[in-house]
Amino acid sequence: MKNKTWHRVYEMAKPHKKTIIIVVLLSLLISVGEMVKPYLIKIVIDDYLSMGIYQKGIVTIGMIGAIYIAIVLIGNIIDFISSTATNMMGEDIIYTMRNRLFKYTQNANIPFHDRTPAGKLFVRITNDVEDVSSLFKDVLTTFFKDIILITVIVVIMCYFSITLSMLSFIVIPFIVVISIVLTRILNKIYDKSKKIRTELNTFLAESIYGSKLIKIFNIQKEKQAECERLNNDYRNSRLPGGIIEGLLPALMTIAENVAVSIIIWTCVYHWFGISLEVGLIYVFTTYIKQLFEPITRIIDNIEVVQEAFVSINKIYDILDHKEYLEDLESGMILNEVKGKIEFKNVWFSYNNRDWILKNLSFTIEPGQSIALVGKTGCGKTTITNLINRFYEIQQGEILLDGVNIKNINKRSLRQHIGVILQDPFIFARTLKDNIKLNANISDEEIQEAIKLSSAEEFVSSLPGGIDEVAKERGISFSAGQKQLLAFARIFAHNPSIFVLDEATANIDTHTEALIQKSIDIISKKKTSIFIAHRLATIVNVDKIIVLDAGEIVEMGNHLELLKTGGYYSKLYNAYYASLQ
Amino acid sequence: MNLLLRLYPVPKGKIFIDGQDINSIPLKDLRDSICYITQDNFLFSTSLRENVKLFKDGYEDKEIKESTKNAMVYDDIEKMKNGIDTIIGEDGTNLSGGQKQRVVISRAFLNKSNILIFDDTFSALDNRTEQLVLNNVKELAKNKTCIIISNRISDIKDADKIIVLDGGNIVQEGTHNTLLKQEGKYYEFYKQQSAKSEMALN
Repeated sequence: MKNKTWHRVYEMAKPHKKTIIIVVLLSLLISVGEMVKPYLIKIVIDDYLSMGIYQKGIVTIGMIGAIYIAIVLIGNIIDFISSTATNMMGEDIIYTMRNRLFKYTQNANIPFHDRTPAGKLFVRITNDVEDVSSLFKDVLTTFFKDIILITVIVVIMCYFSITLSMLSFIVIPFIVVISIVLTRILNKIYDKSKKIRTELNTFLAESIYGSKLIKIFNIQKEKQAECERLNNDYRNSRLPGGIIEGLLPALMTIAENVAVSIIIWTCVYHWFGISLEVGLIYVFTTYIKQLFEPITRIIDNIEVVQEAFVSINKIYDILDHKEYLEDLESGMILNEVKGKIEFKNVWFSYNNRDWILKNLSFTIEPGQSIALVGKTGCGKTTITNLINRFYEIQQGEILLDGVNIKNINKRSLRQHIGVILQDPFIFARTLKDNIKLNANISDEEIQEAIKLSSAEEFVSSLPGGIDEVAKERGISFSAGQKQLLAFARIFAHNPSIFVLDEATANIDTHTEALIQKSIDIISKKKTSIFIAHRLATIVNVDKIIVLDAGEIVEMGNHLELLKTGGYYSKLYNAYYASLQ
Repeated sequence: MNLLLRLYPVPKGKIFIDGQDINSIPLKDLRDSICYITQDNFLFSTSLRENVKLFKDGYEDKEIKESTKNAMVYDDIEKMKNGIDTIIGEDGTNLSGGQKQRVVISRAFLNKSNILIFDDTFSALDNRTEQLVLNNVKELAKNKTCIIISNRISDIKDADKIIVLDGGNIVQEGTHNTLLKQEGKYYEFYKQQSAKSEMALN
C-alpha cells in the first residue's frame, strides 16, 4: 500500500524530473553555505578572538565577515530560485491532476456516474487535488535540502569529533520512533477525516440543489441537524491532528536540548577525554541546532505528507478504475447510416441481478417510426440507453444497419443518434452554444434549425435573442421552452436516428403543437423511436411495441393492437374513458 | 404555487388562507399546512424510507408502507433487494422517471397537511397507474383542499373547480361540465385531447 503511494508520487513528479534535479543541486549549494557559516565563526573565535588578534597572515576578521555576508546573500538568492521553481512545479502538478480527473469523469461511463455522487467527484477534483499540492510545493524542496543538510552536518560533526557526534545522536532513535508512530496515526486520522469530508460535501451539494424542496417541506431543521452532525464529525476527526501538531514542537525542543546538554556536560566534566574548548562547544551546539532544524521540519512535514498521501490514494482510487472508462476511439466509423435497428434476444440488468429486459427482440426498418409503450419501470428508457451504448447488455446483440453496435465507434454511433431527454439539459451558456454544442455548425444552419423547430417565437422573445445566456440548468426556461431548444439541437445536428423520451412535464397546448410539428417533420424522414407516456401522441407511428416487465407483450400499429383487444387496447380504453 | 408557499415575496393583502393574509402566518406554519408535490422529482441520495418521510421522525413503518401503496409504488419497492431501505444510487440502483415520481407522490399520503398541491406530478405515469393514483388522491383529498396542476383533462375533470389560465390571466372558471358548455378555451383544449384519441379509435 505504501509502495503504491510512493509509486503514484513518483508518477506525478516524473514530468518534473529536471526541476527536481536542479532543486536538489541548488539545495546542495545552500547546505554547503550553511555549513561553512559556523565554521567561519569558529575560526574567528578560536584563531582570532581568543588570541586577541585582528589579522592572521593576510586574512583579517573583516574579510571573513565579508565572505560570511556573501554566503548569506547567495544562499538567499538560491533559496528564492529553488522555492519559485518548486512552487511552479506544485501548481503544474495540480493543474495536470485536475485535468486528468475531469477527463476521467467525462470519459467515465454512465454506470460510474450512477454510483458516484457528484459531491464526491467535486471533492476529488478540488479539495483532494489542493491537498496534494503542498507535498510538491513545500515538502519536496525542503525534503531534499533537509536530507542533504542532515548528511552534511553529520559528516562535519564526525569530522570534528566522532565521540561528541555519537553522544549528540543518542536522541536520534527516540526521534525515529516518534516519526514512525506519527506516520501511522496521522494516516488513519486523515483517511477517516477525508471520508467524512466527502460525505459532508456530497450532503452540501445535494442540499443546495434541493433547497426548494427543503423549504416546501419545512425540513430545514432536520437538514441543519444533519449538517451539524457531519460538520461535527469532520471537526472531531481533525482534532487529533491538531493536538499532535501542538505537541510536536515541544517534543523536538526537548530532544534538541537534551542533545545540547549532553555535549556541554561532556565538555565541562571532560568525559571521554574531551577537553573544554569554547570554539568546539560553539560549533557543536550550533551544529546540533542546525541538525534539528531540518529534522523538525521533516517531522512536521509528516503531517503534510500523510494528508497528501491519503488524498493521492483517493484520487487514484478513481483514476485507476479504468474499467469505467469508455473507449471512444476504437471501432468502426460510420459515414452513412440508413437507420435499421435490430434487437436480438437482448438481456439487460443494471446490477446483474434484476433483469430489466428479458430476451427482447424487435426490428425497426430504416425510416420507420416506432413507439415504446408500457407501465413505468418496464424498460422503455433503458432501451434508448442501450442503443447509445450508455450501458452494455449482458446477452444478445443490438445491430445498427446490420452491424453489431459493439463494433461501432462510440463517438460515431452517438453522432448518428439524436436523443431528446425528458428534461433536456441546458448549459449556462448562450442559446447558440446550447444548440451548437461545440460542433461545427454555421450561424445560418442554427437559424434554420431554430426556424424548423418553431423555436423562433420563443428565442426572439428573449432580450438577448440567440445570444441570451441561459441560467444554470436552464431554470429560467419552462419545460416546453427547453424542449423547443432540444429540438433545435436535433435539427442543427441532423442525426440519422431520432429518439424522443417524451417530456413528462407540463407543456402548454400551444408549445405542444409546435413540438408535434417538429416530431412530424423528423419522423417522416428518419428512423424514430418514441418513448410514449401519452398515448395520444403515438397513434401515427408505424409500429407500437408494448412492454411489460421487460418483455414484449404486443407489437403492431395502433389499429391492429386495438382490434386484438389486448394490453394496449385496455391501456388505451382506460385513457379514453378518463377523458369522458 | 411558489407564491402560496411564499417562496417568493408576496405583497400584503393579496393571498389569504382561511381569511388570513399569508404574510401574517409564520413561514413554518404556512409551509407545514401545505403539502406541495413539485414536478422535479427530486430525491436525496439516501434510503427510500427517508425520501418518503423526508427526515422527519414519528412515522411508523405501517404508515410509510401505506403511503407507498397509495402512490402505487409499493410493489416496485418490494421487488428491490433492500425494499424501503434501498439507498438511491448505491449498487447501481436506478429508478425510472415514473418510479421516482411515485416515490415523491408517497410524501403526500404521509403528510398531514390540510392543503395538497400536485404540480404536474402524474405526467410520467402511464394512464392506468395514473388513474389508480388519482383515485387514491381523491380519497385523500376528501376533507382537504387539493390543487392539481395539469394539462391533461383526465387529471382534472373531476375537480370541484377548474381554473383555466392563459398568459397569467384567468380566462375561465367552473366545473368540467359547465366549462365544456361555455365552448371557450377549456372546450378547445378538451376537443384537442379527445380528438386525438377519437381519431385513433376510428
